[in-house]
Parts: sequence; structure tokens; C-alpha cells
Amino acid sequence: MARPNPSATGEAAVRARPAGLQVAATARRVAGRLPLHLSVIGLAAIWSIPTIALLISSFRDPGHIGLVERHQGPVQLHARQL
Amino acid sequence: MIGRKWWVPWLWLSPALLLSGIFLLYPAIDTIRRSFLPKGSDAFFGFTLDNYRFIIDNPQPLVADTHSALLNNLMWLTIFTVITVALGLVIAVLAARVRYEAVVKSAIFIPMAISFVAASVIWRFMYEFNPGIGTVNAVLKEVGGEPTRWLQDTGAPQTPFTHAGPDSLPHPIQINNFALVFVGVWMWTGFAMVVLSAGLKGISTEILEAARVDGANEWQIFRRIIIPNLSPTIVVVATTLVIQALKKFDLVWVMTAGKFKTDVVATLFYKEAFLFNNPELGAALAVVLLLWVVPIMVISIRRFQFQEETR
Repeated sequence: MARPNPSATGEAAVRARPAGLQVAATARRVAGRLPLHLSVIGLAAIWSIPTIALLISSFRDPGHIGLVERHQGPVQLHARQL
Repeated sequence: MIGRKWWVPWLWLSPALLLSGIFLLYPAIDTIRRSFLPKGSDAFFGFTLDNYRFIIDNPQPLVADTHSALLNNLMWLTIFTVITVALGLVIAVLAARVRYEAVVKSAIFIPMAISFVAASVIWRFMYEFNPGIGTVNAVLKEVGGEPTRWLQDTGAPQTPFTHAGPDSLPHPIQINNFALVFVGVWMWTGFAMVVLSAGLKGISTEILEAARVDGANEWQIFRRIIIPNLSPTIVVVATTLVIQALKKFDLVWVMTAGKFKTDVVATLFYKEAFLFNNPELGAALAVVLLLWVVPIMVISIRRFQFQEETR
């Protein structure tokens, strides 16, 4: 069977579209999917906040995160009191 | 032939029956027996409904608020399950449409890999009143809000349906209970998402393509094709979450120890049985919890059997 002439197919017609129209089509496609990307990334980011917050807290001074400094242990404490 | 002897199946069944008897049946029967004993009784057998009457009448709400615990459990059962399943489904559907699906799923699933105690400690930091420590209050302060005592505040959240005040109806609908439920949602959404995502992959792409060719939009595909095809998986996930919600203990215990009216039946049972030296009331609470779980288990097993028969 003879191959169809590409110039007569829709594919060729699409290829022949002006560059401006192609850019507009791509922009429309990206803009159409933007809410999807934003919501997916937003949900993943919200879910990661506690873990990231804990990571940040782990680098902070114990006094700054509401924890008291660990004491030296009962023996040293007793010796200091003496 | 050995297979024809009547006792051979029982012989093979005996280890499982023995273990089930020792570790499941005996404790259950003993808990039921104990729940009918009067407080402080040394007798082995007895029959009083005092413990159950205590649960129903709630005579000491400041010491053991049974009504609050039951209602809190009911809130966990409904709100936790509905939000977790819905979020898991939405994330599974959305994540399937992006190229970085694995990264998103990992981020959502991470909390499942953390122990409940560790997650509770993380969220105690998150809910800390001081905005210099508590992330939630820090964000709230940045947007112009007032810091809130998320784990202590027993006030009702301001919604069109509820209003704070002494005569406000929804007792368990309190800010701190919502805060606790959200931690549960944060932990379990990953589970719901993974199971529902696996179910989603099982839906034939031909059906979806056929619907698109027929002119269905994405919402119609979601409502008319994805949801009906996923309904058995949704039921499995919901059943698992309901059972989790009913036996919720660790999260509540670590975060509030049941204070500020956040007790659930499991924490109240633990307090009564092991801290307040009232094992009879504790046993009655455990029986109530058992009665709550059994119908859900029965429905779940029946549904599973039905699916197996129709396969």
C-alpha cells in the first residue's frame, strides 16, 4: 500500500503552524496544568512542614525551643552543692 | 488412610486454636467477667451493672468524663476517617497526573514511617503556644492572627454551625480535639494514598480514554468512573481507619494525656485500669470499645467474603 502524502495529513498541517501559534498553544497547556502542579506541590510542601520544622529545631539552642539545659547528673550536682 | 480420620483436621487446627484461645478469647472473656464485678471486689464471679451505669450516667465528669471520651471517639471515627480517605484519594488522583509522582508520594508517606510517639512529639512542637517555637502559631502571627493554645483550648472553633459558649452543643467539637485529629490525618493520609493509588493504577486506561473520547470532563471521569471502580478499595481503607480511630491511644496520651477533655475511650480505660486502681470500670470501657469494633469487623469480613464469592 502506498504511504499517504505527509503534506496532505493533519500532522503536516500542525508542523506548518506558525511559531507564534505554537508558543501560544504551549503557554495555554502549561497554564491549564498550573493549578494541578501548584496543588500537588503545595500539598507535599504542607505535609513536609513538621519534619522540616523538627530539623530546624534540632539545630537550635535547647533554651530557645522550650527545653531546659540538661543538668550534669546527680553526682556532679551534689558535688557542686557541697 | 490418615486423611479420613475425623481428628486430623482438628490436629492441624489445634496450634492456631490454642494460640487464639490463650491470647484472644481468654483475655476477652476475662475482661467481660471483670466488667460485671463491683469496684474493688475480690470475688471471681459477680454481677452488677454499676460500671456500665457509670459510663452511661457519667456521675464524675471531672474525674472520668465518660461521655466526653465516647463523643471524642465518635469524632475521631467520623472526622478522622472522612478527611483521611478524602485527602488520600485526592492526592492519589492528582499525583498520578504529574511526572514527579514518586517524590510527592514519598513526602506524603514519610509520616507513616515515624512512630506515633515521635510524631506526637513533633506536633507538640508545632502546636507550642510560643510563636518562637510553635510553627503553627508563628504562621498565625505572621498573617496577623493571635497565638492559640492548640492543645489546651477547649473552645469550639468559630464556624457558621457552631458557636463558643456554655450552651453550645457540640461538646467534642473543640479546637484541641481537631488539633489532635489533624495529627492523625497527617500520619494516615500516606497509607490511604498508597492503597488508593494502587487501586487507581488497576483501573483500565481504555475505560478512561473511552470516557474522554465520549466527551466526559475530568470531574465526570473522577465521579462516574474512578470513584465507582475504587469503591472496594475505599471501603478497605475506611475500615482500617475506623478501627485505628476507635483504638486511638498513643497520640492522645503523648500529646495531652487525655487532659482538657481530649480523653478517648482507650485513654480513659488505661487511666481507670492502671492509674486510678479501678480495673472493673476499665474493663467495662474496654468492653464498650469491643462492642464498637465488632460490628465494623463483621461488616468488613462479610464484604470480603462477598467479594471472594463474586470474583
